[in-house]
Amino acid sequence: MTEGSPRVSLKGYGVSTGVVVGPAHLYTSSRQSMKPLRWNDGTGQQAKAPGPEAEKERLRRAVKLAVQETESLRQQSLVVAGEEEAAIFDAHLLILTDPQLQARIADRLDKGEEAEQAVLEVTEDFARQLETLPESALAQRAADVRDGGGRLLAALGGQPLPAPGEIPEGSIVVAADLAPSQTVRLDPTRVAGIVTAVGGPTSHTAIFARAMGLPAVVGVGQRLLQVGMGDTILLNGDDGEVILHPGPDEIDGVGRRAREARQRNHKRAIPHETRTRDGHRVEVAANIGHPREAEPALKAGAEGIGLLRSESLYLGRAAAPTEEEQYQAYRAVAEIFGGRPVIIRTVDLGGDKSVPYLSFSPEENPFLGWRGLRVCLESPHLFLAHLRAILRAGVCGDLRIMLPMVASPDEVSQAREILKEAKTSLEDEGYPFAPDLPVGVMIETPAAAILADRLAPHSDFFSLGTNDLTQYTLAVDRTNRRVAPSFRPEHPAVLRLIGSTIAAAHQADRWVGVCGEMAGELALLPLLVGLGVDELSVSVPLVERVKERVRGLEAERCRVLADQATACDSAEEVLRLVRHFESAGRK
Amino acid sequence: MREIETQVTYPSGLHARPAALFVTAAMRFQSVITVYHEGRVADAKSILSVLALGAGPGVRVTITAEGPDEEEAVHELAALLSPAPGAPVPGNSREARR
Repeated sequence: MTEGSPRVSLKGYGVSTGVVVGPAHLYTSSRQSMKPLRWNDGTGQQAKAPGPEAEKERLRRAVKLAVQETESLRQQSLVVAGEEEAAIFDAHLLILTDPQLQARIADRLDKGEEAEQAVLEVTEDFARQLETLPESALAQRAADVRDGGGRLLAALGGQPLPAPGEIPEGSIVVAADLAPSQTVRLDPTRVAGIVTAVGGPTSHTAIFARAMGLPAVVGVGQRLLQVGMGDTILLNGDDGEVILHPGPDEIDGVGRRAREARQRNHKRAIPHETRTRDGHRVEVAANIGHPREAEPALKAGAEGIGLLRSESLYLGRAAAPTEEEQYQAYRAVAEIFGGRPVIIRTVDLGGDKSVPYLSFSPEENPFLGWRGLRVCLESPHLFLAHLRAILRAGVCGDLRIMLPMVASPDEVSQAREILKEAKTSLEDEGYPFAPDLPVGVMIETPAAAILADRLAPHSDFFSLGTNDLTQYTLAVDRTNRRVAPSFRPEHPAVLRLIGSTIAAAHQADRWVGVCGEMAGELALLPLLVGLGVDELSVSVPLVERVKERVRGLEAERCRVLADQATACDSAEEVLRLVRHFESAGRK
Repeated sequence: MREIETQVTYPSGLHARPAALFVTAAMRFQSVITVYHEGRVADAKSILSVLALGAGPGVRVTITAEGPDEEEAVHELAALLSPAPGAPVPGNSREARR
């Protein structure tokens, strides 16, 4: 119906910047996805009545599954949008286990109802009750209740999360409203923009869209929903205009603007090398959680990607991402950064990040458990697809592989074996790939730091994961409020490990970066520069500030400071030295 | 039984995130905790029932607790609903940063 359909201009809130045009992809709202799966299927057949106890057991299992999925969504939104947005899923977890909800469902099960119907009706009751409240912000919570109810229903059907469905690349997602669990699972490599009939500037859709860098307009009104699947739609996230069936001139205009923007980017793209005042080179790169952040990182002046956390592709979904999907994602980052280095950390699952398609079981000490490279080495199928995707994307830029949670050289050799296997299989199948991607080790266990000289022959580079290195070295869990104040990367024990790692690496002619949060702590940068780091990789908003700070330092003075600091007794003493260094530098 | 009346000073009322913090805090107490607002009654350990109070910003609510830790319960929960002026509001730091 695209041909000859009248042009319609609608107005909403532009909540995430950018202008895009593309085919509409109509997205099922959470309400529609709440159809019971077994009940009321139109066949008129009476469902089997397995009895209240069996139904209750089924419900218990479904709640457990839904809770796991929600935790995984929480983790994924943490990576994509940050702590505050992830907190919405805390509310979802409470809804799933709500005592009132559970009691009312149990009542119905006792009366012989099927679990699906009980869940549907009880959650719908609660949702309607919330909708009648005058407070609009509170009434919006009805969507959260339906979102939770939908997840429970899907879990009862043995289906993990309702599959988001294949979205054609470049589509504009059109929906009445999007639940947080739907937004966070949109694949930003396929979606070009988001437009919803309801919602306001503070809606979750708005916040997630901004975090993912997707142009978005919300609160357009119900007329939006007259658009057909595949109809051309233009959305302007800057001024909130949405045009259904735009004219050819308008469509060309968007394409032209996008091309111009790309050219502008390219011109200013080559960031200046960062050097200290006395000419010592320190590369400043960015840490990113999602391929979407590559463009903003480049604009922020990053000289490369020092850490691409590949977890964002793995979390919050029922099955592992395919090789093809990963290839597209890594390739996009490689292309954006052209010839500059992009370090992909191989998927770091476990610890606080579990996924339903690997057999994670509860652990006493998840941070000392099955995580990082350990998971990959025992899941060769998953690891192989992962490495194949990286190798293939390596043709399009300067990609490098980094292995997390290594404790001994043997693990690196095992990973290299699987990498060799990946290359052989790609060769056999005739795929082009980069045969000599550098393989580095993330130094985050004290074991790896202590054995740095033994690891160096197996590694092309090191990057210090100072968060875990600090936690493991000082035996301090920084999420434990009681001991968190003792979590100090400037502790002399940590500094000595960093120093000896760098010395061993330089001895073997390997470079060393820092990708932990310590690299972004401006006060501690003189210590890192003095210890001899070659690269600092920090979150995108910090790139410019770190570059500026490095340019103001004198490497020679930093070396003296680092020597003194490693001879200190405590983190406090180190901080005193750092403060003195600052004030002396200002004189 | 202990009872305390307080004003909700969260900028967005007992919205999803603040409500989640409130319910999580309530669950740490053994006492039976109830919240009253304009004739509506909520179980403080049930987020659905707390949300259904419709307690927007600025309204007054009454919290009661009955059990071994009733004293701490009412005080801690009341303090959570109306943080001291100038203190960071949990779950709202983004707004606070603007």
